[in-house]
Amino acid sequence: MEYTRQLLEESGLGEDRLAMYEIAASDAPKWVAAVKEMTQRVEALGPSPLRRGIHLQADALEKLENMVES
Amino acid sequence: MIIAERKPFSEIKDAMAPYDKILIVGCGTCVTVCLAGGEKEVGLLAMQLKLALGLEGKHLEVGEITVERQCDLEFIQPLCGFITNYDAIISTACGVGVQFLASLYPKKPLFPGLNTTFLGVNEAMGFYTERCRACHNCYLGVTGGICPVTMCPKGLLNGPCGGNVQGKCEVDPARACAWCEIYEKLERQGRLEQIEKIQPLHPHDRSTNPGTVIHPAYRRRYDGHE
Amino acid sequence: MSKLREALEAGDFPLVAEIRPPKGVARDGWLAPVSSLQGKVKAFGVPDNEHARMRLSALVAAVLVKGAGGEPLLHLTCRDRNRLALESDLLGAAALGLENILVLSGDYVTLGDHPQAKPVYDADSVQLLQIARGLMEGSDSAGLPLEGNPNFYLGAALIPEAEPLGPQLLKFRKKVAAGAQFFVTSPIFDLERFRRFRETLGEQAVKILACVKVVGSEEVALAEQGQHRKAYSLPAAVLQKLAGKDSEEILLKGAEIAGQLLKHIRAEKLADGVYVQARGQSDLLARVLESAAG
Repeated sequence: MEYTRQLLEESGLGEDRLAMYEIAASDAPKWVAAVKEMTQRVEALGPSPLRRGIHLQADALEKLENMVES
Repeated sequence: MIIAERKPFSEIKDAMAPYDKILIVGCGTCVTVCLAGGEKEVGLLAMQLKLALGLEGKHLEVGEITVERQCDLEFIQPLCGFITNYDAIISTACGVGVQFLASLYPKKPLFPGLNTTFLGVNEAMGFYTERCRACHNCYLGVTGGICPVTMCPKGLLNGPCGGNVQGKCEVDPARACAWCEIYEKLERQGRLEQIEKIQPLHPHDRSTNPGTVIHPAYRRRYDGHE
Repeated sequence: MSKLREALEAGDFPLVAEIRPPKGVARDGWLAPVSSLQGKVKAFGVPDNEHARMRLSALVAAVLVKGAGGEPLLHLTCRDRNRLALESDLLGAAALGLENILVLSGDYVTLGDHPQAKPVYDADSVQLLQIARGLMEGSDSAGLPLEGNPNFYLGAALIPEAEPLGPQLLKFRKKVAAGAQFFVTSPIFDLERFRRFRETLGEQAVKILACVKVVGSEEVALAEQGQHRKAYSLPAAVLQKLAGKDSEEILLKGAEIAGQLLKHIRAEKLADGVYVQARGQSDLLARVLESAAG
């Protein structure tokens, strides 16, 4: 995992685009937290410089929370 | 086997600047085992190059192929027709393979993807250590199977230097002093008298490079071969 | 004949003071001990790129010492020269009237100030002793005859506190067999340990110069943190005497301690002479000798 992050960093895409979380199958809150964290991070990083013009939907986070609560 | 490490990515990438279509040739033997230049590493390097050059707005076409061994004509000759389609080649073999491949395709710019480091063992997954300096004059029978030329940074042939501290090497305290190990091993085997005799100066003339070995059975065939 | 040899063989307990060739070509300062200690020491040790740090050629420094009226003890390491260079330097030394040679492996290059240099070690110290002995007998290491044989008084290193001791004693025996006539030890701070070592070693035909060293503040700091990694130990009793002092005071006190060690080694006949390391500084060397006399 660290090595792959390093490869991405060297390539210029940045290591932050890849992460691994260990989450138990029953641990929904942790899963939500991880998805949130990653979503926020990806939003901050912006779209892949290789693929211009595709953006996250503005309400993606909100939809996600609704999904888990229901 | 031969141990190698991948070159810094920036060095490989910079070398590719003039080209649009390159071929990465991996090697399926030693450098595959040490995770430096086998099929998987060829794929990773191709991916990285495409990403990095893509970020600079450049489209690089990358071909990938891995042969059994680049140090053997049998395996690299078949690449002949294939290679002509590319502007340049990166070989992720050790220096041996890179040179053999380069000699076969004299018109093609060829770049090494690895730095060749040493002859070593696979201690554990991802962990390689040196064992042999290919010195043409093996002492292992005298020194209890521990090489003084390789395992002692100074290559001393007659016992430890004064720098070891509690059996640890002066050069790298994490490592055992080779001569302390040799002594201990031979002492346990009751063979210390083997190292009491003064070992004469090493015959460096034998390892004048580049070396050539011709198997006795093939002497007539290669008579006059230099 | 070498005065050092005469004194050692006569049982006169000679002292050798180490000087420090400069990094550069400055002529003054580093040669000062030669005049200031004239008559008090028998010879001056001239290190050869000590600790793998590049300095003025030891061979040239030794000639300058001789010119200033001192008898040099030239160090010759295997680190920086192949057998051709070792042999021609030995002949050169002999031609310039240098007789005392201390043969050493040499600290490894990565520990010094030119870490990327190519380490040589074509010969090890045992083989270099054999080479020097061969030259004295009229032939070089290739077996070719010489026109005029050199004469040397050959020394080598000995590590009394080596642990394990077996491999070190093996090397000692080989050095004696190869032609070493005297030995210089690594610095001695722990007399009790040195005494035990002398008992282990027993009677020897070769002469032994025990090294006493003026310890510096860097080494003391490392020892206090338990980080001291040398072929010799700094006992707690020594460290206690140096605790809480600034670097200048440590050197002065260190010189006093070295002098006391020298005195004990002489009184108890623990060695045949003493080799003093005091950073090549006249004042410190003088202080060691004063402390030993007091």
